[in-house]
Amino acid sequence: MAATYRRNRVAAIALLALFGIVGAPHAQAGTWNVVAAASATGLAQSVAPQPPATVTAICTAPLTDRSITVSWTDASHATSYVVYRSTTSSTDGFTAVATDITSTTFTDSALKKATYWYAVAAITGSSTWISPMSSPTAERQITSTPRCV
Amino acid sequence: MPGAHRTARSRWSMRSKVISATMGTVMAGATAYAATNWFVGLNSGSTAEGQSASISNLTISAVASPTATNLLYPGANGDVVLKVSNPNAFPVTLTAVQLPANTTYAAGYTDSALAAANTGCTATNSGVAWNFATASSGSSHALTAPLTVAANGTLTVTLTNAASMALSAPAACAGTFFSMPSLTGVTATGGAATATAGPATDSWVN
Repeated sequence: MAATYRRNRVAAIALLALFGIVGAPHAQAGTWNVVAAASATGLAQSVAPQPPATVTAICTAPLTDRSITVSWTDASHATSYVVYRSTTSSTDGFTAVATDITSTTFTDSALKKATYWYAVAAITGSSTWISPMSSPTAERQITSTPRCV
Repeated sequence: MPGAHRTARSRWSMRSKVISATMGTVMAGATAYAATNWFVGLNSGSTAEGQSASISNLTISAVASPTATNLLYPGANGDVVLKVSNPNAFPVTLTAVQLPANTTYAAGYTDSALAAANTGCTATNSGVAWNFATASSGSSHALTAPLTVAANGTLTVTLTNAASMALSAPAACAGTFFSMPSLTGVTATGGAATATAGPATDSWVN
């Protein structure tokens, strides 16, 4: 009988202890680091390099200098620019005449007698990340005088 | 009267069991009720070990709105936009996230719904990873300010400049949407707190 009584008391204490343990995690204020295999992601987006919206070519003063200055508006996220020139037409024959330009202007000097068109492309971060060429500038001519018109 | 003695002892024994059980139940209930912070994990249920059955895990997903302000390009950082969903009947506060390894890259997609894969810009070559990730998976990154998601609510968050793109990223990765490598965990607590107004912004700095 005494043994039964002791056994019951032990059972009761064990029961209390059990509840105490179950409740323990809830009682601890603070934070826990969690390791999970679940997918938990976010969205990032990259730049699509765009050319300058506006590119202009003007004769550099004095006009006898045989120089043309090309200027353009800043392109979003551009880190440098490439300037192209054509002596064929406004739609064909463009080749790069200046690279790694970090400003928004370029002067093309010592030009020969010809008609010139220019366009600009923007580089974003890496030389492989290059925009399409901009629309071409209006034509400029270096005459035989020589003179820029 | 041995029989009477036995009956009295038995009654006491039974009474002690009932009282003890009741006390235990009340203690456990009171302890849970008084708790100010509960452990909350990420979704899928794989992190539920040791949790109360009444606590559900969070879900973190990619969203296209609001649009990221800082965009990625080779050598640059970009924003990460995500939505945290809290299915619990109490607010949950995030204080840190655990990051995958810095060699785990994001896969590229041609649409913001992340439905059409960009085959030229993949998790193999994009070079897009979480900033401050280390060579080891599971490194913890503290948020600049805790983010509290309302009970049964969602919170859209822009993590400013949380992603980076390697200089080696191919041109095919231009104009691309990225599903960031999955976080390996969060550090979050549940309990009374004022919900963060959304959409929220959190600077990704150390």
